[in-house]
Formats: sequence, structure tokens, C-alpha cells
Amino acid sequence: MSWIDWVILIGTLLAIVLYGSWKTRKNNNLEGYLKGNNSENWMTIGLSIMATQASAITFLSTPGQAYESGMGFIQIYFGLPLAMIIISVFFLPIYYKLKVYTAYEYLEGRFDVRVRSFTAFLFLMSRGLAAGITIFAPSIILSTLLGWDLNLTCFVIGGLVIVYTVSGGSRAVSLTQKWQMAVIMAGMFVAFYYVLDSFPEGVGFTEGIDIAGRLGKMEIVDTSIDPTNRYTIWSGLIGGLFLSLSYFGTDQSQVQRYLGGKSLKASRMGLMFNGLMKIPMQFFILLVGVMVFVSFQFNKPPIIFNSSSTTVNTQQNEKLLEIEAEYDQVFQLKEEALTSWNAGESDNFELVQGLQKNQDVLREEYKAVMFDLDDSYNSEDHDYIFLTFVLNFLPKGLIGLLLAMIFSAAMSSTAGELNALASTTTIDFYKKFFSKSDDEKKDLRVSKLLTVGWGLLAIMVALTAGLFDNLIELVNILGSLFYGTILGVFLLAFFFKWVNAKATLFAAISAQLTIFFIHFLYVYKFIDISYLLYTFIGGIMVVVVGIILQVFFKDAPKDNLNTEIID
Amino acid sequence: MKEQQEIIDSEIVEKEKPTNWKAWYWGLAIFLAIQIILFVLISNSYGE
Repeated sequence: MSWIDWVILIGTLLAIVLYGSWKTRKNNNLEGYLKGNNSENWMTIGLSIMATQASAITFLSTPGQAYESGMGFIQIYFGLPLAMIIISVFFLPIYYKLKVYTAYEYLEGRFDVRVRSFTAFLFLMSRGLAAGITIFAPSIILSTLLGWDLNLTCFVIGGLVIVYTVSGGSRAVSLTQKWQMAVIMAGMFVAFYYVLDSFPEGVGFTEGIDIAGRLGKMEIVDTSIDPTNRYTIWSGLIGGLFLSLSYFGTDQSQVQRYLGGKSLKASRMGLMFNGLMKIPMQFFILLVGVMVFVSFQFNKPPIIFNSSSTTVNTQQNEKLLEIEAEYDQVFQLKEEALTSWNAGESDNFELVQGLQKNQDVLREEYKAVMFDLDDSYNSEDHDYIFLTFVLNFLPKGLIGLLLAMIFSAAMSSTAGELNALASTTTIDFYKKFFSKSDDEKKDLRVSKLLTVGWGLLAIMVALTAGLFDNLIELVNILGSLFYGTILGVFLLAFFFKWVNAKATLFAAISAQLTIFFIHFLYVYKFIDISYLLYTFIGGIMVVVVGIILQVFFKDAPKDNLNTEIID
Repeated sequence: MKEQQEIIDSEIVEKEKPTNWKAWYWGLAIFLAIQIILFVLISNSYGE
């Protein structure tokens, strides 16, 4: 990396951190710290919601996903706009009416303290670990490709986030996220321009789309009802709706973003903004990946993208060299066939398709040999594709901007998570069970200390994350294990007013145990099920079991929407 | 103080001229449908 890249990277990150800390330096009360004194406008809320969801891995992994499998991944977002409508209509007015700090506070008013604590605990469990991975995932990719020290990268990302999240709280998180999103989108547009610029003469955007389409990358919607297909329109609309409802409606890292709005209208508009922009934004990120795929039809890509993550000396292994030589030959033939087809000299695109398949097979063979030589080698290399392109095709200075983009994404989502973890621990546990005084300054100090604590824990998880295989998938699974139960509790709370606390608590515990059991059966290969279904199953189970149990527990439910539940 | 005044002002405006949220929700749902239709058309033009 050149010095100008370093200047742009460090300058951008420091400017954002200092801006967040400076703008919120006068925060001296708990409400200001946890809810930003309800001062955010709809644009800040909307961008903040998007920035919290979009982690660094989104921008590293999504283009790689499109490179490998095409645009079909967009379908998982189809349920999101519908979830935004449901949250705006049902969830948001109740949170506003009760003036809650955390989503779980509402559950005490609606049910009792046990349901509130149980749900908040499930959130802390899943989100606490996820915060570490939000730091670890981009760090491992950056350190592998750039040769940086992994631990130092984790410390830098975690440390910068702790600085402004502790000093400015929720407001600092929202304000910095606005600028981080600006850096992220600027970075993606710059990358898109340079991807198109890397095409040879005579190939533009239209030709690129045509080539990608003919090579199977533009099959966006799958209308089949085959349950083994992970991404279909149906799993996107139904599974995506449940996942988005639980994430945006009950996960404190998101709820906290829109609870900081200056009015109910501002928060609703923020959600509408997210509903309108999310699919186009993800479509654009996937399109960048597809265009990188087209670029690598004319510029030879490495046979694997994460060769620097292994100690295998690929230049000394005969089998690997043999496969690589064949790969080079196939690439050359394909490039010639494609150039000839694009110039109108040949109409035989089947030849290009056949050679692309050969190339894919050789890549898999190469990975299999690598795995035989080094069993710690991770054959999933699509997370490295986009950054490989950036490092090889972007000019000096802009590489720094793209790295600033990845750091910004990692920091924005981690900040949202730390802020939410500290708020939930402060409001749902510390203020509920340990602090009975109204000493605002002390509560604020505790809240800041808890933010530091969660930040350090996240860094610790990130530093030890390398000990586990497939950690990113593990965290996704862990999230899915808990989300269904949390969502089910909120669905009972909002839509089944006659179901009481006892029935809900038993339903939540039984659903949680069932999800654990299903996962156990899956791990030991008794059943085959996608973990994406856990949220759906868990949520539905809490509702159904809660309703059945309520028939047996005949005591009246609490109906105290007007009760003041903040201690 | 300035921020609190802004909050009060926005509440007054909302009371006097409430936002038509139904139109927003329908708009968002229709926008989703249009996007899906567009994606289906693109998929079909390159599908096997």
C-alpha cells in the first residue's frame, strides 16, 4: 500500500471518530447517552439502520457471493420492506407510547419481569458473541491479503469503536454511521467505475450484463418450491419477513436506532427509507460482484483467492502446478472464444459456457488438493474475491478509500451492537436489579463502563475466534437459534393480548429447547434442515404453544399499556 | 433547547397536517412488487 492510501485510510477513520466524539461531548445524562435525547431526523435514522445491518463482511462477501452464484442472493431481502410496514404499524407506536429505552422493557409491562429478563438474556447471548465476529471477520481477510497483524487489526477496529461509542453513546453511533454510510457508498461507486474500466475495448456495461446473463449470473428470482434451494422467492418473502421482523423489530441494536428519533414520524420515515433503499443497495453490491466476474473473464483471476491464508508452497507441488497450467490454458481459450463472440465473429457461446464450467471444475480440484495438503485451509474463498480485485485494479489513493470503506462498515455495525449491549445490560439488568437510586451520573458512568466492558469482550472474542472453524457460519447459526424465540415472545405480546406471562414464559422456554434439539439432530446428521428455518420454527412455536398453554392457565393477562414501567 | 423546539414544532406540524401513512405503506409494497416483477423479467430473459 502506498503512503497516500495510508493517509486516506487513517485520515478518514480519524475524522469520523473525532467528529462523533466532538459532536456528542456534552452528553451528560442517561437518556442522552442511551437514546440521544430523541434528536435524530429521519435521514440519520434511516442511514443508521442501514449502517448497523451492513457489516464489513456484507461488502466483502456479497460481491464474492454474486461472483460465485449470481444475483439470486437478493431474494433474502424480499421480506424486508413488508417487515418495515409491520414494525411501523404495530411495534413502533407501542415503543413510543411507553417511552422505553429497550425493546425488552415493554415485555415487563405486557407480561412480567421474568419474560423481560429471559428475552433480554437471549439477546445478550447472541449479540455479545456476534459483536466479536463483526470485528474478526473483516480483520482476517484484511490481515491475510495485506499481510497485517491479525490481532493488531482487531485491536484497531475495536479500539476506535470503543472511543466514540463510550464518549458519545447512541447519538455518536448514529451520527458517525451517517458519514460511514457516505464513505461506504462512495467506495462502492468508485469500485463499480473501476470494474467497468477494467473491461477490454468493445465491452461495456450492456455487453457485461449480457455475458453475465449467458453465464448464468443474472438468474435473480427462483420461483421453484424445492426446499433444498436456499434462496427462492418464497424463502425470501416468508423466511426473510420473519428474519427481518425479529432483527429490526426486537433486536436492540436496531430498535435503539429508531428509538432515538425526534418523533414517531421521523422513526417511521427512517424505517420507510430502509424499506425503499435496502433492495436497490444490495442489488448494486451484487451487481458489482457480477461485473467483477465479467472483468475476470478478460483478466486472468488467480485459481484461488486466499492462497496467502495457507502455508502450502503451491509452486513446489506437482499436482497443483499441473492443475494451474490447465487452468491457464482453459482461461486463454475461453478469453479468445469470448472476444471472438463479442466481436460478432462467432455465435458459439456454448463453447464459452463449457470452458467456464471446466474452469470451475479445475478450481474445485485445486482446492481439494490444497485441503489434502493443509487441513486448516478454508476452501470458501469468495470473501477474498472483491478485495483481490480492489488491490489489483484500483489506482493508488483509492485503495485507501476502499479500505476505509471496509473499516467504516466494521465499525458502524460494531458500534451499534456495543451500544445496544450496554443499554440492555444497564436498563434490563443493572437498573432493574442492582441500582435502586436515581443517581443519574452514577448510572451514566456504569453505562459507559459497560460499553467498555462489552467492547473489550468483543475484542477478546475476535482474538480467539481463529481457534474455531467456520466461525462466521457458527455465529449466524447462534443468531438463528435465539431469534425465533425472541420474535415469538414479541408476537404474542403484540397480537395475542389474552395470552399471559406464565404461558409465554413456558412457551418461550419450550421453543428454545426444541430449537436446540432440532439443531442437535442436524449436527449429528439425523435430519437435514437449513438453519434459516430456525427463526420461523421458533417464532411460530412460541405463538402456538403460548396460545395452547393459555387455555390451561386461566388467570387474566396484564393489560397495562399505560403503566409506567421505567423504574 | 434548539433541538427540543424542533421536536415540538414537528409534533405541531404532524397534528395539523398528519402524514398519510397508508399511502406510504401501499407505495412501499407496490415498489417491492415492481422490483420483483423486474427481477423476474431479467431472470426469464437469461433463464434456461
